[in-house]
Amino acid sequence: MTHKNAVAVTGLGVRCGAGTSVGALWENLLTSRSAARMHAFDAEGTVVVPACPMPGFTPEGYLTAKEARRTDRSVQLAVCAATDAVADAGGLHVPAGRRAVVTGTAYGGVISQESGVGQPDVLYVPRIMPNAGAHWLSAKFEATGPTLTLSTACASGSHAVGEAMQIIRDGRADAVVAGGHESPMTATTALAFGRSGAMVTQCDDPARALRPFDTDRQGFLLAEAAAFLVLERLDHARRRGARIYATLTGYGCTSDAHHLTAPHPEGTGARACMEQALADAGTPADAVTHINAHGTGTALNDVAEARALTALFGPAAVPVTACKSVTGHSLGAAGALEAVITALSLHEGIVPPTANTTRLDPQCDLDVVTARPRKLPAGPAISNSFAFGGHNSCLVFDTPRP
Amino acid sequence: MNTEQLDHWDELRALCASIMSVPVQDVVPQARLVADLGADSLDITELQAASEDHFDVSVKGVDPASVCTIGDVAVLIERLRTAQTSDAVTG
Repeated sequence: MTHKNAVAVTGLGVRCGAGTSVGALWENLLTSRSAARMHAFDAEGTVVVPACPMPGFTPEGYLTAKEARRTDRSVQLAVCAATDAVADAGGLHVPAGRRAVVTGTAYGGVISQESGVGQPDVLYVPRIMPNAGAHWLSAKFEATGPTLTLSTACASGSHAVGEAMQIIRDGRADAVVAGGHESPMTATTALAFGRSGAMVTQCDDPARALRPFDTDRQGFLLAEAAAFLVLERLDHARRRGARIYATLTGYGCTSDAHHLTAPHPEGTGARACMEQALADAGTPADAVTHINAHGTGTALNDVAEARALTALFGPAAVPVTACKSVTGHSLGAAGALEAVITALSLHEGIVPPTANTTRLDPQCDLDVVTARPRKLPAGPAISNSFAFGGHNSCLVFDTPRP
Repeated sequence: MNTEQLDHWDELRALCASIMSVPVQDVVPQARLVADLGADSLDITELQAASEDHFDVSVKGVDPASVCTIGDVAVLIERLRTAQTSDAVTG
């Protein structure tokens, strides 16, 4: 298989409660150390629910005091993670006009939005606009090629990475900084997800609360995060001798066209998305070495995703991991965070386990990797993201071949 | 006019330091907004809006070129406040 349309993943950067660096995140994933804690979403402490915040985060060293004033926390996370990703890649070795940025976010600057209601200052609009992250990254990295923001709820980060690959394939850029960022840590957001029934609101042990595919699953935990990848033309990356974590070989993008918030119960849109991504990569289903699942731990997602996986691969035929059990659900950042983890899994030859899942839901006939990491043969893997709105995004990563 | 003796000086100083993200001790009457304090167009717009909120004056119609230093801002605000007060008396 030649993968003539593949792109190289040469840089990774993250900020999340489960790790302020890629290395720290990886350690916590391998040891199932969750970032979750009881978190007060308002100063008065009236909205306290389990979540995965980053309590000590500051953008110091990445943004000046003035820049920090002009940015929402979500964008601050993005600048830090993306700057790390570019440094990890050894810089962007293409002219400014051949550099692109694609960001995903579900909410934009929701903290600034809520705090400024009724009393907006001059910076209100540029702080809350969803494309603020794309601006700051384009300015920081002198990217004068395409710079875009996508918003497809919990698939935003994954769509951003997939569309970034398409920009390279189309010849519109040679290097793209792509990922997602979200800081949805407001009382209103927490109350809203709690009322929707998708989020855990009460539990004894926050670190064990998010249990993907488990009989006792109760929903997800809200997280703040940013995750970015540097994608490069494969021939460019090879020519400059870059470290290539993985290649990105396929992208699927489908829609359920079914329900505002629920996935199709049979997971038909999810299955079609995985099939499309595999076809795009030129990869047969039986070559897939593992799935990094959307795995939110909600009743509806997990069964629909499991049905889609079983329909495509057969019962329990492919190892599945669900990293939200450790990271929580960072909405628009989640797909990018899991893309980072999938690329890292291929690079390390290890699948991190799904934390907290001990009693597999019999409706989910899957080979869920639990308890400890599992060694991985070289070969392709899929990262899944399925969003409110029925937007599906699947990314196929592969082991780089000489 | 001794700028530092104006009623609103301390408040203005803190406001400018916050908006321009500079130490308050750098906000002195002779400091130039752009050249010394690094203000850009967003800072100037924010300072205009904040001045209107804090000091209850309208800076509409003020020629931006007439304002170069922190001292200029302080004097302008004082002048606008005085003008408004006398307007109120005569009106």
